[in-house]
Amino acid sequence: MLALTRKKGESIIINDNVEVVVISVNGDQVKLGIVAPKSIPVHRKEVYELIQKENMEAALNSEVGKIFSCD
Amino acid sequence: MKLNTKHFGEIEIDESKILTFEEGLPGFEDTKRFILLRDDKDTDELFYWIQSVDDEKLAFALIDMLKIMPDYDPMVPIEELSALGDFDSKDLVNYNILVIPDEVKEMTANLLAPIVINNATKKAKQIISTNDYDVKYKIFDMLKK
Repeated sequence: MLALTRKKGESIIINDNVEVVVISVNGDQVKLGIVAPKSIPVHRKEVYELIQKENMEAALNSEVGKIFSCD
Repeated sequence: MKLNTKHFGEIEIDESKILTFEEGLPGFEDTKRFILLRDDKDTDELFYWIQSVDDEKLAFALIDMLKIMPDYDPMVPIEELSALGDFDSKDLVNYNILVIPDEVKEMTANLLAPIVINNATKKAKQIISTNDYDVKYKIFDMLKK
């Protein structure tokens, strides 16, 4: 993994078209600004991981009958 | 073609109806082809399934949330919709993935990230909406109304 040190207000450029700016640092919280072309969706990693986890749980649903017997 | 399914045994499917998830689904990034199924017993057309065409053991239960929550209105970035090809809003449908635990009353729908299907191109994607919707929204009590 590449590790870079940046100060508040500084940024890094990824792949020529995505800029990540350090907006503020407050204790162990870092606020980042992301400037990306509209075609690149920016998701927080934890949101994507949340959806991954939810999908894995959903794939385990066992019985189709369960949802039709709840009346 | 014939397809073995997780919940419905072997069925005949129309290959032209196969949906392509170019990026797979989060957690199942390599699974790109699904078919949308509905149980004939569900006369309300409330529940659907997406069954993987390539992995018979993989299927997700879906719900048509608008049928039980008419004001459900996920906002999704237009760029993500564009990934589904040219679209006309009448061709777009969205469903939400269900988690149905052993205690069925605890069933939840993922309102945060609906499955969006472009029926014109047969491309589909699970898109993370920009609303503040819950990923585990309890729906059981809404079904009884």
